[in-house]
Amino acid sequence: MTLRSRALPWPAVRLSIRQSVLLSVLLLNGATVAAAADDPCTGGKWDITQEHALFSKAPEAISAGHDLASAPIMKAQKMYELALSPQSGVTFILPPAKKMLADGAFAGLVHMQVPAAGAYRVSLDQGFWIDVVGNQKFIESTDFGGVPGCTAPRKVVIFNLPAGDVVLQLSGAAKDHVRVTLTSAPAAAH
Amino acid sequence: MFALRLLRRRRLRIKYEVGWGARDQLFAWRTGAIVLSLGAASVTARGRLLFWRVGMLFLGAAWVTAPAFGVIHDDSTSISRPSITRTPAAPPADTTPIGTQPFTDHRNPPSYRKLSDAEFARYDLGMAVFNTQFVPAGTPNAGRRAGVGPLFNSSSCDSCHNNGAHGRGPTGDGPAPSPLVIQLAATPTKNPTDPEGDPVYGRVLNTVALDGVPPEGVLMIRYEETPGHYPDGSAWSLRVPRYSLTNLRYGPLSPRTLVKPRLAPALFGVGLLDAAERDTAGRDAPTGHAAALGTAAGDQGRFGWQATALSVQDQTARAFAREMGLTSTDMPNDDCTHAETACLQAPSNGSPEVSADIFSAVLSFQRYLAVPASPTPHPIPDQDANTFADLGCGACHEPRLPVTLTDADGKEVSAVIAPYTDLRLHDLGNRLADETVAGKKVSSKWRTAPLWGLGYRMSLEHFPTFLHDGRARSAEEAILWHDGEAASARTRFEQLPAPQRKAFLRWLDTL
Repeated sequence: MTLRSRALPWPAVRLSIRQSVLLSVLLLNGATVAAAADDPCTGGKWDITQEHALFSKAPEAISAGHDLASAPIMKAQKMYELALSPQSGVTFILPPAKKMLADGAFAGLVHMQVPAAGAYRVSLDQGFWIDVVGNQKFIESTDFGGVPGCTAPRKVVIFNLPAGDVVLQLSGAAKDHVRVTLTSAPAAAH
Repeated sequence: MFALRLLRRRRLRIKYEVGWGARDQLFAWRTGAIVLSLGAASVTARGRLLFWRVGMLFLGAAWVTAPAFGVIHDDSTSISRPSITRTPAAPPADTTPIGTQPFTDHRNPPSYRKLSDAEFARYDLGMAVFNTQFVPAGTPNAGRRAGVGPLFNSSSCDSCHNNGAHGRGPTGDGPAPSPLVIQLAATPTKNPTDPEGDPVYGRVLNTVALDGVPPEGVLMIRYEETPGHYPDGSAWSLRVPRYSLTNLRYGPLSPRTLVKPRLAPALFGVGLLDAAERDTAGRDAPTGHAAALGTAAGDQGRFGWQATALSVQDQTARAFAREMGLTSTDMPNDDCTHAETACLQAPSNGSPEVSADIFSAVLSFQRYLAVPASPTPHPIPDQDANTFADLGCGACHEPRLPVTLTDADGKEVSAVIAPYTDLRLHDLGNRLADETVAGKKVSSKWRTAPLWGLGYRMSLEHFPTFLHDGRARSAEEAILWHDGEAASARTRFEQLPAPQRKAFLRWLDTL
C-alpha cells in the first residue's frame, strides 16, 4: 500500500485584499496541505443546510423563562433569539445535568413544541450547555457537533424527542442572548 | 539486575527465574523476599520467547499480604477502601486490576475508588471546572470563569474531552472539529519534550479568537480512500488525510515548522497512568526519547500522543495555556507570539488566569477519574486475549502495569491496572509520521495508546475515530495503519482467518 501522496487538484484560490495572500502549502503525514478558502459552516459532520439557512434570517426575539411558568413556547423550523437571565435567578426543572461553574452565567427555559416524535436538532450560535427535559426527566442527546469559527450555528445537539411539549434548559451561557433553532434531523444523516 | 534462567526443552519450557523483572524487584524491595517465578514459555513464530507466569515462590518473606488495593468489585459503584497498616506490597501477578467502574451517567463520571469527603469535594469542583465554558477577561461577574483567549481552540476542557472521553474526530471532508488541533513545533529543537513553536503562530494553530483578535487560521480536511485486502481476499480501505491550513492570518508558516495534527485523547484513568511505576529495568528504553529529556533520572514523558508531557499536571497546564488561552502558575504565558500584536494587547484576567486552587481541582478530577467498564461482556474470556498475545500486540499494549497509589486515608498502596499500554514510544513507521511544512518527515514514534475503555467508546460513539488524528474509523483500521516496530504484529493480524480476526476485534470491545 502506497500512502505517499500526489498533489491534489485543489481549485485555485482567490483571497480578499484584506486577507492578503496567505497561502501555505504543507506536506504532512504523506498528505498534501494546500491553502483554500472554505466556508467553515459547510462540509462538516452533518449537512446543516437547513439550520444555516434559518440562521441567516431575522430571528423572533423572545425572553426565555426564569422558571417553568414563565417559559415561552418555541416552534420547530424557526429561529429565535432568546434573552437569558442571570443563572443565579433561574429555577430549573432539574439542575443542569452537567456540573459547571456558573459565575456570572446566563440561563433560561423555553418550551419546545415537537410536532411529531423523532430525531431533532437543537442548534445554537454559541457553545454552552443545554438540557432537554420531558416528563421531569432528562432526555439524553444522541449526538452533538459543531465547528470552530462557525456561529451559524456553532453547536448542534441531536435528541430523540417525543411529540408534544418538552422543555429546553439553557445554562452556563457567557452572553445574555442566544440564537436557537429546533429542526427535524434528516433520517439518514443526523 | 541479574537473572538465572534454566531453560529446558525447546517449545515448552519451565523457567526458573531469580526474579528481577521490574515488578518482582519492586516486591522484593518492599518485602525482603526473593521471588521465584514459575511459568511456561513458548517461542513464537518470530522466535520471540513468551513467558507466562503461573505461580510465584516467595522466599524469605515474613509475610505476604492480600492485595492491598487491587480489589474488588462489589455491587456498589465504588471499590472498597482497604485498611492499610503497613508498607504496601506489590500485588501478585494475578491480582484483579483496579481502575474501572461502570459509567451509569456518562455526564457524571465516577472516581476509580471511593473518595474521602475532602477528596470528593476537590473531584467535584474539578469536574465542574472541567465542564465550564470559560469567558473573556472583563466579562461582568464572570469570576472564576474569566480569562479564555484571546486566541484559543475551545473554551472548555469538556468540549474536546467530552465527559473525559476521547475527542470526536472528523467524520469526513470539511472543517476540522474542535477536538482536532494542529500543534506546531520548530525543527530542529533542543527541547524535544516541549519544542519551540512556529515563530509566528506559536505552538498551536488557534482557530478561534475573541472579538477584535483575528483567529490564526482554519483547518480543513479532505480524505482519500486507499483500498487494500487481506490475504483471504477480504477488502479494507484506509482514509488518508489531506490537511489544508487556510486563511492564515499572519502569512505562511515557517518551512521548518513541524505540523502535528492531534486529536484530544481520553482522560480516563490518567491518574492511574501517572501512578504507574517509573521503572526502566529490563525494559526497552523509549526509543531515543528518555535520553533527550532534561528531567530527573528515571523520569520520562508519558502523556500526549508522543509522551512529551511528564505528568497530568504538565499536560493540563499546556492545554489550558495553548488551546484555551488560560494561564496558570505552571504556564504563565499563553500562545501569543511577538508577531501577534492584537493578541498581546488583548485584556488579561491577571496572572495566572486559572488560580492555583482551580487548577489543582482540575488535576484532582483527572487523577481520580475512573476508566469506564466495558458494557460488552465477552463470552470466551481467554481465547482472544491469547490472540492478542500471540499477535504480539501485548509487547507494546502491555495488559498490566503496577501502580503505587494513595488510598483515602493517605496511605501508600500498590495495585495493578489494565491499561494495555507500556507508556513508551515506538516507531510505527513513516505512514503515520508528522511532516514539516517543507515536507520532511519527523518523529514517527508514538506512545502506545491505552486500550482500556475501548468497549465503552464503541457503545457510545456513532463514529468512533482512532489514532493521533482520528484517521482510523475503527480499531481494525487503526491496526492496519501500524507499521515500523508493529509491522510484524499487523501482518500476523492480517493473516488471521476471517472468523478469528472478527472474533479478535469483538474482543477488543470488551476492554
